[in-house]
Amino acid sequence: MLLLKRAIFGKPIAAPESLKTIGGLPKTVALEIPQGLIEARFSKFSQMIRESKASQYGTDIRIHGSRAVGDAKATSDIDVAIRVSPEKFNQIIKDVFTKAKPGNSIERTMQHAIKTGKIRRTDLELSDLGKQLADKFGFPKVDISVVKQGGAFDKGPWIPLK
Amino acid sequence: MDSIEIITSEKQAMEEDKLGCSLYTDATVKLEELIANLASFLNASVKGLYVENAEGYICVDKNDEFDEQMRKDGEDGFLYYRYLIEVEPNKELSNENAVTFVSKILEYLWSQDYPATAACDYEDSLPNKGKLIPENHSWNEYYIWK
Repeated sequence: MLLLKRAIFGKPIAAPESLKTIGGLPKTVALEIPQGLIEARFSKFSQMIRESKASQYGTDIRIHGSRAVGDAKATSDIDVAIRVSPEKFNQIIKDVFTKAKPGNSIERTMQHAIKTGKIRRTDLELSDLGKQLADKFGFPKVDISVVKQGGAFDKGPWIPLK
Repeated sequence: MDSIEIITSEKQAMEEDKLGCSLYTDATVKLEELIANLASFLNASVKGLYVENAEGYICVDKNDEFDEQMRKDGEDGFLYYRYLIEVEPNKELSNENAVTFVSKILEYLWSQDYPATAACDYEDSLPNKGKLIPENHSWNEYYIWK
């Protein structure tokens, strides 16, 4: 019923903590605006990301996780995924893990990124952007990663950036 | 002449390094306590998950891939430790001072008997190449790099 209401009445408000599931099933529909932002702030949030180094990795940038479905706590991160094709993902791996060599920790990190289909913000040099966004928009943490299409982390519900 | 060329080459290599460093640690304290302890050690201010001083900032958070079993499983174990500390040295620091900042935090974690491993471009420049040191710690159940 909640899904139906959302479909009919458009933009929903953040769901209360007690509604993490619907009929025992995980939520599958995203909000229109990430929980914790209003539309104008989401536009500004989107603009900051699009004008940053993040856009060099890809332009299909989306919010996912608890802020997208509306069951976030005040202490929850906001998760930003830059979705890229497998070919682009492999190119980014080559570009960012230039110091990987057999047996070192950065090489293990690279192999893990390949296995999971996700590259973390530190490896992408996006930590500063994450901190600026966290400071400006009041989130505990803004987690930004590159996610391979079809990989383990390529899961919605999604809210595309403005 | 050869040594000058080598020094120049190493300097250029370091200038190309990304300064950010991921420190994975299997600290046994709660997140809030780990943040407070690191802030005290670094004489730094705290804002949420961030600890900051003139040398740079760190973001201390739970590792969302923490795994009780996997953390002790071979070379990859560190990727599953309980916490992930992202260290971002101040961009104004020299490379040597940036390495010193990261080294200081890593050695602090070891001094508290917390297993900790660094993953970054300059990990070879860190104490014990940023990997667990086997001596004087109760880390026998963890993988120790040879």
